Amino acid sequence: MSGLPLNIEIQQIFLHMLNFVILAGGLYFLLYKPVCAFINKRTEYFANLENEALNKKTEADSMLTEYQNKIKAVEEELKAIKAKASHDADEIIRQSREEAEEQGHRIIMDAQAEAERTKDKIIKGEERDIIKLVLAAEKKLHHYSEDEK
Amino acid sequence: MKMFVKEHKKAVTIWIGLMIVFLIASFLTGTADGHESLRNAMRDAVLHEDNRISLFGIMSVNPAVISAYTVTAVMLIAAALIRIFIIPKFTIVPGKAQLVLETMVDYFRGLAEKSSPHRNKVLGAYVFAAGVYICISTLFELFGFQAVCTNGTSIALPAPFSDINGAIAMGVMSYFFIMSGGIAGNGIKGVGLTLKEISLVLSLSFRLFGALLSGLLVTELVYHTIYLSIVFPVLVGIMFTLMHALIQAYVLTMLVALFYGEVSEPPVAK
Repeated sequence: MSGLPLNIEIQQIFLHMLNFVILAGGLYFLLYKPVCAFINKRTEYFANLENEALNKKTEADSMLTEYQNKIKAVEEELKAIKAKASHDADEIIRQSREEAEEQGHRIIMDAQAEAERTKDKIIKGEERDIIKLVLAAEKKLHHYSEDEK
Repeated sequence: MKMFVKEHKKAVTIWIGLMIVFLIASFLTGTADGHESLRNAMRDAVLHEDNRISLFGIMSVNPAVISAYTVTAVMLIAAALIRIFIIPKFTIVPGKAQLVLETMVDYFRGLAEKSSPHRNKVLGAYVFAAGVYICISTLFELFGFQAVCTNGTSIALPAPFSDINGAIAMGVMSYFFIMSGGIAGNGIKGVGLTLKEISLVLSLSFRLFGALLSGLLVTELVYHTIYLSIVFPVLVGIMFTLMHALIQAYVLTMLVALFYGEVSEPPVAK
């Protein structure tokens, strides 16, 4: 017994303290520390998984961007080729049309020249025939006149 | 239920009949002479002056000291078994036992980290030990382990914190632990900060003691009232013990974590 009220005894307080210190130390080394270590390890494991996933996602994103750029470049190239082909086709059509027009014009010109020539020829032939006819007529007229005489 | 009563009509009748017989017998038989009076029972529950137990023949101590060392021994053996047989089998996806352990540790670690973000490694370990000890040692009284006193009588070992010495030990240790956090965080200024909260020594000690004692006294009162001494004391005793185990563990650990965080907080440069 002690002189303190409520049966407070310093010795027993120290005994309780000793008991708790033993218990706290034991629980720390046997339970708290290993369980904390495991929880930390698992947290680290999942953090690593998350980092790996993030890295893969970043890599995939960069690949996606790269391929999108490539697709865009290919599309642009395709568009340029199409435009060039269209332009070339237009050019070819234009040239062909010009050539055809020129050829047509030439044909018309040739035909006109030929027609002129034919016309001239015909006219010349007709003229000869007319002259012949005139001459023949004149001759006949001469004969008639002579006969009448 | 009706089917069960019909099927076991005879057994149920005997059971109820026996209960009635024993109930009547309890009321008819008087209290034995020399029975401990309520006043003495209450006084002993508070002060533990009469019943003392020999500690290995070295000294006589209050029964709460024996309870405390018994709880410690049981907890350390259980912890060692868990360390040897359960912890090495921990898996990424936890099983039931692992989940319980991890939840306990994580709760106290989280409490420490939340209350004292700047310095919490030792605090987590302390509140874990204190919380588990308060909870389990309070539940210990439910088992009613018997011990022989120096005067030859037999008593059921009480909860360690129902003895004021145990409660004072926990309160004082918690106070000095808070002070150690203050010193680690703020040097000599931390001592001053902790001394400002000197009332913590009393509040931590007597809150713990008072809470457990109130449950004990209410249970003793119920036991000493003949009309309430059947079935009712069991419910009251278990209810108070369970509630105090959880509430006191929560309150003390939360207060220690809060004050530790407060006094160990590094000064903010202006």
